[in-house]
Amino acid sequence: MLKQNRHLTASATNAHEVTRHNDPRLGPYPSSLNFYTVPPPYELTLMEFETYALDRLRVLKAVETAFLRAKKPDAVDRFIQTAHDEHMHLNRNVRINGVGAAKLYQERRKDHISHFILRLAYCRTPDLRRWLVKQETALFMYRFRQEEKAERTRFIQDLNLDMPVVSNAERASVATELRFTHGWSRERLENTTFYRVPFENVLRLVARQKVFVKHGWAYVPERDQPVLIANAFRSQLTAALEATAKAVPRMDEDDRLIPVLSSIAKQYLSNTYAPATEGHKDRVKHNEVDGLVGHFPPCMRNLHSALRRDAHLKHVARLQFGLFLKGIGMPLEEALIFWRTAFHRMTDDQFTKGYAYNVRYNYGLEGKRTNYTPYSCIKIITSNQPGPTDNHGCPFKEFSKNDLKLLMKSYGVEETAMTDIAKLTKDGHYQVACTRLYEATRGNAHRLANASLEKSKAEANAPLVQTVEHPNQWFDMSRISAAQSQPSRTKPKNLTPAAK
Amino acid sequence: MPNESDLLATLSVNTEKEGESDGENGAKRSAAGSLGGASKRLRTINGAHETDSEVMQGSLAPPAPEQVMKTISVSDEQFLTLLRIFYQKLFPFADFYRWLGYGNIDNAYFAKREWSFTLASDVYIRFQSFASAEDLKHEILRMCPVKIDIGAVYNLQPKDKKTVLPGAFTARERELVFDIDMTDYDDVRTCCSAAEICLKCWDFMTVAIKILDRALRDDFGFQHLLWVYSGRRGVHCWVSDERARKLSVEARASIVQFLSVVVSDSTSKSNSGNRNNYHVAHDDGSDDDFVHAMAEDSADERDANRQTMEPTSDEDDDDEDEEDEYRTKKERLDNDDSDDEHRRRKKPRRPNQRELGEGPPAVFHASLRRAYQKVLHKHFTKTVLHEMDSLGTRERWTKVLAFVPDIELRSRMDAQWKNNLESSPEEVMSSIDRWKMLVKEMRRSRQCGNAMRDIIFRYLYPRLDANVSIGLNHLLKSPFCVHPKTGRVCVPIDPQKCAEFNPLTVPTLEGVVGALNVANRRPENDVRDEDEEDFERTALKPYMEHFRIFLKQIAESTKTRLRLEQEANAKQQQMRRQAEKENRRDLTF
Ligand code: SF4
Ligand SMILES: [Zn+2]
Repeated sequence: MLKQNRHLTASATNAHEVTRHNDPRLGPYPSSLNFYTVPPPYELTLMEFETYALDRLRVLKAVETAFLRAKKPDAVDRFIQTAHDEHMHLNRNVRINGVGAAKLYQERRKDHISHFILRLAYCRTPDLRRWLVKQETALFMYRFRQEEKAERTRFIQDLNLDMPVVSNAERASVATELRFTHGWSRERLENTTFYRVPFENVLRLVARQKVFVKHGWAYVPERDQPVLIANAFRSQLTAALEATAKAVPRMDEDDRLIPVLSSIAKQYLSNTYAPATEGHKDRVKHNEVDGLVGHFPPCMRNLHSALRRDAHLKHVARLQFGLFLKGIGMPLEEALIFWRTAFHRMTDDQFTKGYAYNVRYNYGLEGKRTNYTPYSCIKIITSNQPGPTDNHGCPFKEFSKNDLKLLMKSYGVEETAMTDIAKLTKDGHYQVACTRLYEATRGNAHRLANASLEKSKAEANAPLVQTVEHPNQWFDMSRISAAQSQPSRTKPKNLTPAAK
Repeated sequence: MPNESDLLATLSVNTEKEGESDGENGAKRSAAGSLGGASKRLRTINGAHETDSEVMQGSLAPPAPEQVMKTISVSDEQFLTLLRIFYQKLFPFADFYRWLGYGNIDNAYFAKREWSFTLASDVYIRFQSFASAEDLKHEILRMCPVKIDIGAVYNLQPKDKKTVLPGAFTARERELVFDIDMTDYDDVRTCCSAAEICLKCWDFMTVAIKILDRALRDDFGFQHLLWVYSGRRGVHCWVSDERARKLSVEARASIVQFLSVVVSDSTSKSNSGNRNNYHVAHDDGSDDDFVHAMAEDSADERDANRQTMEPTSDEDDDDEDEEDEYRTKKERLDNDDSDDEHRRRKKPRRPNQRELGEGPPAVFHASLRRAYQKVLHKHFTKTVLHEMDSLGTRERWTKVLAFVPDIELRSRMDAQWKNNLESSPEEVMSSIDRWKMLVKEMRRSRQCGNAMRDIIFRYLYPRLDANVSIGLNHLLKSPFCVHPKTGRVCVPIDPQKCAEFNPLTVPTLEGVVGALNVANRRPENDVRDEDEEDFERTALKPYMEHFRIFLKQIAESTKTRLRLEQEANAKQQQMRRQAEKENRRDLTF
């Protein structure tokens, strides 16, 4: 992997060695911050390769969630911190004597390597690239904020970015404009360094009228330097990823890596569902499904009601719903009965010929005999785009605004949460919207059930539940918290809290 | 992991099998109201939409002229006859080719441009493209569109759109365009409404042109701006610099936001202590919003510390002498910053000081401040107070007073002015009198801060149609079109002389074609100068001349650019040769 990448970096190989502030024990990592201009020259075991990548992926996902869910900047940082410290802990230079240089080196090496693995895994499509750039930039900026001022300054100096400092004479020539734009005293103006960049580099500042522009140049004060750094990081990584994408076909020499890489990339697309608790291993009988609908997430409720209405479901819908039922604990025998009775307008013969095969297929008894797992949200959302007469898919994505509202009403969602959900849906954050729905309707039960978790979560300022990744996760959470928050009931599967 | 190909295989088998059963269930399943039905309805609508656009593209082959004629009335027929002559003799096709070819550095640039036509029968044809001025003229003469729109430059010739997969056809570049429409000013117009305009309200357009023209040139450094009358009640602007044409959608959106102000709600502002007096319109919360927001927020926190900075003397920003009897220089800046309060109390005013002092002024973005000083301030008296008479009746002043944060002051003014209405005619106050009084009172009120400035911005600052500017593939009516309702030609406006522009007297289709006929019939005109063109015999002449100056400037910029590029290349080559020579010398040693 590393060999093939060398051409991307041409001249920069020794960039880190020439920095002035090198503690030799830190090797190529004088700072906790890294622009990743040089690929890591190490031999790796496949094992390392995979765990590093997955750890980084966990952090990036936390970053993504943090920005979608936390409202205030410091809440975002606390949210990221939890995942960051767990999976990708990075000590700052001040800790060099506390924890030892070797530790710092190891952490930074892992950071470095894992970044480059994800580059390889996420360079293939524009969508993946965009996702990676966005999260990596946010992660970098998070670390940038955590770092000390002196370290930041040193890091920026070493980067040598192309952003000329405005001379004193030039600053004086636009002093009035700058002072009014920022509301500054003369003294403050004279003590501020400005950088002159094309206005296209600081669009957000331009849009917010927070920067003075003249003849196409934006005069960016040093306090907004992070914006410039973020933009530099972003455009640098975007370019590098595009270059990697072009180079990747040549990687075939090392065919051990291909499966690993594509499975990493799929982590973004499919979360395989692992049952949350042992308790869930209850068998669900064919006649218990209607009683459990209250715990179904919207996509499954939708399929269930379509099935009851039409006494039929089309192929993809059957797969989506059937595997979900399998996931909640319905064994094959029950599934065969369930589907047979559900398709009640059909003769036995029709059913056996056309559909029983399908059901057995889901359970790995036909065809390739794979034990298929239930579909994750991402899979439901991104694959098999439903046509006009289909019922499968994720309602947050497929429903019109009004229909979604009706659906939310059927869950008993209140107005404020409804607005939240509508907004998230509109912006394409379907799973986050679904999570909001869960919190709004099951939050209390969930809180009660997880009372012990409460304290630690409150401290980390984490949200109540992690983003919904899987319909079965939704079901499990709903069912378990309903059962545990009402201990008087003994048979959890009979609880139907919000079914209306 | 399920094996995809296997899944797919069964999928296709099963869909086949389901053919019939779906048919029999189809009707039942479309039952409305239930969840499944709901999602389906939505998709059907989407589906219908797609079909629509197909139809639209299907109509690419123009309907035969007879067909068009059938659907329109006699006067329309006359209009079309004139229009055909206009296209034949007057419409500047060659100049359009010069303009939209941009020096033909990329020789397919013109051909990749989308044109769209609206025919008299209301058929709307998109994705036309032409390789040359002759092609364009030929097709326009054949179809005689009542409206011509210009779209983006695509990666392919738009007429070949159907030959590639849907995703493979994308808009690449377009002029940065602006559309200002008088209907957006209806809440502040008192003379006419909706589609009507008069010279009085045209002032709003004049103000918009002055402000935007300056901002686009001075702030963003654009040079090639073509302002065009839209034919009825608005103006368009085509920013044609190369840098403008290459702007991303995000960049366009940011520029539009930069150029839009929504004055914050005065009443809520007085409590919230918000330092920013002007908020940009529509925050779209784009991707990197947060990264930036956080950078900025932390900066703002630091900013809050400036209260601890030493309070200093008064400031006076005015670099322009303006006759202004009811405002002292001090009020031009009326600050509402708590900082300022502090400063005001501590230091006595020095009204004659000509420069900005040492202390921190209230935030007032340089671009807005400049618009205020150079344009808004002057025009407010003329346009809003005089022409619109915006404090002339109780109904009108109530609207203005609603923006005064001091509620007590509001009702006091209202009562006083109401009383005054009953006095003898010569004692009744004019809008200007009332404004002076209001300004004086607001200056005294602690709560009013920037209220005066806010009101002025609210009434006069340009109101943009953001969508037109942002979307790369948005269409905009071509200059020199004829507006089918008014018959007026969409002529360019010289921003230097925009105050003199009168939309009510611009050349009309009938006028120019008529003039041409008359002129061509005169015997002394039979012999014409070799390169005298038809338009020179009509009222279009000055507008065409302005257009050609615009074209010439673009051509000059292109030439300069090419020259600089060549020089840079030459220099590089020279350096390379030098290096080679030295290498060789090394070798010979
Ligand atoms: S987000 Fe997931 S669980 Fe929720 S409705 Fe969509 S697919 Fe189902
Ligand atoms: Zn009018």
